[in-house]
Amino acid sequence: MTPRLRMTGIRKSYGSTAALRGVDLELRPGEVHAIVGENGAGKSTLMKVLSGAEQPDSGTMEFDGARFRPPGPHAARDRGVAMIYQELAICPDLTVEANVTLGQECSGYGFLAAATNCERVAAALAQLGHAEIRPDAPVSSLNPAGRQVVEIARALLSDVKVLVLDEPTSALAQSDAKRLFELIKSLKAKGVTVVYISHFLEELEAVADRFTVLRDGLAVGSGRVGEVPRERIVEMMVGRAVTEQYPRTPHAIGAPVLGLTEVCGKEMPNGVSLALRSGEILGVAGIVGSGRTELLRAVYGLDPVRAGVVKVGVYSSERATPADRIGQGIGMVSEDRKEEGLALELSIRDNVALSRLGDGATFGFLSRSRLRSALSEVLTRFGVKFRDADQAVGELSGGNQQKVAIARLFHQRADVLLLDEPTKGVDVGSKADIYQQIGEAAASGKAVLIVSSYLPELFGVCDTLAVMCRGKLSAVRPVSEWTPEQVIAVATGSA
Amino acid sequence: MPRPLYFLLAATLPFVFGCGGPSNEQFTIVVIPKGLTHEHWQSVHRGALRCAADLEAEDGTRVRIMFDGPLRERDAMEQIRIVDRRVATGASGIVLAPQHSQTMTACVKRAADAGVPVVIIDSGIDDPNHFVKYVATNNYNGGCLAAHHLIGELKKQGKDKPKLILFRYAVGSQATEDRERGFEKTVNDICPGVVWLSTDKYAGATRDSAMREAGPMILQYGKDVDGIFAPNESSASGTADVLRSQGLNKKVVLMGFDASKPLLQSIQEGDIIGSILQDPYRMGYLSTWYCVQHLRGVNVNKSRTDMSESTGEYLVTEKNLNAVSTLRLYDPATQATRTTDELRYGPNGKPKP
Amino acid sequence: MSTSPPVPHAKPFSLPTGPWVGFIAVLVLFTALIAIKGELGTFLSLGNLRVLLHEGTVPAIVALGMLLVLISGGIDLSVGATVALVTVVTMRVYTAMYAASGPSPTNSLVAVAAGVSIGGVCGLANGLLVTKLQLPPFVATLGMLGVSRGVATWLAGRTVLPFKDGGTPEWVNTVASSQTEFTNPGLWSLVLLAILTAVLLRLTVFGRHLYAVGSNEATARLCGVNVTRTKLLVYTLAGLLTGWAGVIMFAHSNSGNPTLGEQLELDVITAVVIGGASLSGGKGTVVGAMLGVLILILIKNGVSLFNVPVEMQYILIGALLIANVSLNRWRQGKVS
Repeated sequence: MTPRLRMTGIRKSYGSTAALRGVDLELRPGEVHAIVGENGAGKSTLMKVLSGAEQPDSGTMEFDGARFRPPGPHAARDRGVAMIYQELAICPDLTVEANVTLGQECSGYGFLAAATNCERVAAALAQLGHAEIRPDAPVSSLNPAGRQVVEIARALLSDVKVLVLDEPTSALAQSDAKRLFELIKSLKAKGVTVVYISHFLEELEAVADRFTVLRDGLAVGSGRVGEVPRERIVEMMVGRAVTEQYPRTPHAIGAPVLGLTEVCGKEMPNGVSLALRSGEILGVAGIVGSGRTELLRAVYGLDPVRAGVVKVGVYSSERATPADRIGQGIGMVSEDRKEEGLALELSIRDNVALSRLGDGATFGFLSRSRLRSALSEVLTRFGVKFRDADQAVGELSGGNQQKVAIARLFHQRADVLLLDEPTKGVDVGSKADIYQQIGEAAASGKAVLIVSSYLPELFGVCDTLAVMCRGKLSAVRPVSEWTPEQVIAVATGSA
Repeated sequence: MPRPLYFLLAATLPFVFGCGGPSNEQFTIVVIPKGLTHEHWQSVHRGALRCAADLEAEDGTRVRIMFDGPLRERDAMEQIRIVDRRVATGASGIVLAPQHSQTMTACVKRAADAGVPVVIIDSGIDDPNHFVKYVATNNYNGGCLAAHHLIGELKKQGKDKPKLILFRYAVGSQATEDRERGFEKTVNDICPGVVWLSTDKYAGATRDSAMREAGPMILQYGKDVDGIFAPNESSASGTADVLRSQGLNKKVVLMGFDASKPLLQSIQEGDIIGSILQDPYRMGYLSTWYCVQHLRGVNVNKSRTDMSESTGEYLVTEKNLNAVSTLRLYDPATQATRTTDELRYGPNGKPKP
Repeated sequence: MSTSPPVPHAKPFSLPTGPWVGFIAVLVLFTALIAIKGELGTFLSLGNLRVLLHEGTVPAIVALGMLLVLISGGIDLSVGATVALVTVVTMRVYTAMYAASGPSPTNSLVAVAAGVSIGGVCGLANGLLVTKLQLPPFVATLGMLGVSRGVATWLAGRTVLPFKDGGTPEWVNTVASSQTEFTNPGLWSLVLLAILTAVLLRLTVFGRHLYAVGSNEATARLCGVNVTRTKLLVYTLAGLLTGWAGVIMFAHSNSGNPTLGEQLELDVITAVVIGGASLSGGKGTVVGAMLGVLILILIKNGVSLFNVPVEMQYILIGALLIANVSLNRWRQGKVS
């Protein structure tokens, strides 16, 4: 079979760092090809080269046997190569129809052919199995899954032959992810080549035909999904055998430090009670939108608590600001790293020190040297890879950014850690580091509350587990008493 | 919540604006000054109100005075808008201090065409065919008066061939150019030995700009200069400030025009030797009076060539600073004690028939 | 399996209710007020309606340009100074031609063309600064504000340029008069331009791209929209509209005056924002912007007409702006 697209010896450097060091990749018509690799392995760069957003320093690309070197994303799309980014490219003020047809409107003499455009969009959406999305609805009224469909419809409209999906499920609830897989299968049936980038190896098994592993700017292996065991793929990704995906540090559970009694937020959570003990790692599972994030925000004082009592150590109150909570020893890592978790333009140092600047200051003046020594210890412990602490956090890879966000809690010396999706968009190696740190924190007597959509992670890391569904929290039980099937049943309300 | 905010606004506004019952006045005269911030225009407003009060006391004629002008004195467009607006909404007559002698002609013509008489005050307008009367200070005469006083003072000091600076106001400002012309002409006539050090510097519209311009000028000529004439309030105040800062006050004789509290203070202290004051109170009174007379059908002009009336210009020095004759020009309490006859017919009272 | 539905029930299209609420609030308020003062007749008179439309013409035309720029995610602070420059250039060209060849309709045509094109040139300069030098629109147009105002003052020799005695062309008097407002060419040009702008925004590819660029520039670029060209074009269009507004201002003010239009930009931005546009781009309609201008003019007119202290005008406009935008936010908060 002739390949749809062939990349040969692609090299790309940014300054002195080589992002790609001669990658070969072959994509066949009508296959789902997974690209896996740790963050910083070169996946994004490779896909940017493929979709025309970046120009390779050397190497060649062939599309259906013809030379392919798009000068920009639009040129690539004209040839049938489209990419759906993790941060969706959507104009929030426009309608679905306008978003889908953007840049490829049917028109005559500069005037839009409104009816034709609407028909095309409706047809594309129906083809994708999402006929319930109306072309004239404002795109801001759609949830992330809906917006993603809009983007895929846009690609479909431009007669896409190769569709690149970058971490498409990271913002989706589980059921939406299932629908996405069905959609991918239908695209495949139409002969579209889908390039699928993901951290979730389970997903590859669900959706991909073949895979290629990237490491340090090189393609280190590829094969058919199902023929290569998962452990072997992980090994290829990290370059070493990951003997234990979830390192556990032995820790003892002590006295309760955080108690919630019938806590209600604005809409969610709705009457949540739980007790978190020192040295305990408590996992909260549930689908996106079930009120897990809202629970953490209410406890941390970001959202108002409508009713109920939050008891932190000796403090008991319904109303508190985040500053109060920090004073009471609570720390939180937001799931939204870019918007809430970190100030991307600020330096690593400032980000870590942000919630406890007072320590490095004398009479309101910051002491740089005192901050530096305090921080370098925390950063080294977390294995954050950085050039220097004055570097802007935005320059780091996703995994390292997340480490910085969590390191802040340790610098802050929080006793209760609220972690919302702590490994979202983080590569395998960094994940292991983060799990290690969570375990050690528990061993040193801290209490940890983890919200995650990734079940294996919860089962691998937590002592106890509870499931959230429509704002209500199930009973907290030790992990050993749960099975993944039970969790999913409770989470989807079918238990 | 914003929706109740609207209701709140709606509920409170009538109180803010004040509630008044319907009135049945016979005339509505709109007084439109050049700007609202200057003390000068407050006197004009008071004069107009006084005229209305006098008329009602006399024969029950009810005249309603509306005082409506642009907030800033250089907002030419707004003044045109106000004239048009008032013409369209039923003003009986308009008293206007035009910001510009040429650009305001069109809207004055429009008012006249719509049957609304316009009385021009303070400074002139180029088109003589569409207004009823021109009531203003004779600025040329004021300049002459200033020249006489300044030269007189210098002669007292024994300076027969004085070195003078004429610190001009701005290009295209008719009133101040008249003052400058009157001053220059009179000085050359009565004191042929005069030496002009500078006659081409412009002070600009504000006290700040006057200080900026005067600073270098006085640095250059400070040692030689004997006397300076600044043709309006802001240029005089600005020059006084500069003289004071360079330690030349009381050494250089400064003559001003118009008055403000700080300027009168400077006269008191001797930093300014004198100033020429206008009579805005009478200007307001007289213009309203002519407007009403015209509306009543009285011919206010003897002929087409006799359309302008001067309200007088008065020399103020340290000596007469607190005299009634000076206070009546700007002090509200003293203004109120002026007689109707004096306001209508001038200092000499009602002419014998 | 239950999930959050991708599409909540959203109305496909609704009128910009925010400006309507503001407009009705102001109208009711003034009517109530004036009824109390017993001068309803004056306020609601045909004469005052003419004056309202007359006064609204210039800011409304400028607002059309500002609307386009705001939708594209930019801002244009230079419009007031551009209007002043246009009046000065128009007058300079007119008087020069008049001096050379005496009265002739050609003088007016050439002068008006020069005025409109100088507006377009200012707009193009804004566009080049924003696209080629990658300056933030706020900075670029703030700079142009200074340049235009300075050039206008210099060209006018620091004074107001009037027509020579009796040299005012007839069309200037026609445009300047509000007494025959319903046949005033200035007003009808506004109506025409407003319709054209609405058509441009609603029905053309360019309009669609404008909203897209304002809503999410990166996405628009990714989808093959020529962002640079779109921005260049929108600033130039806004400049041409401002140029035409300047010509009307030239007629209204009967002069070439470098001090005209001070703070016009703030008035116009206020009006367009009251009309539902957003400073972050992607939002706004012609109907909203025109209502915004009408609200602003109503307040100015009412305050001036009824001997209300003039400072109330500023307080009212400011309060209305804040109330209106918070109302919009509150309504959006309820939707999402």
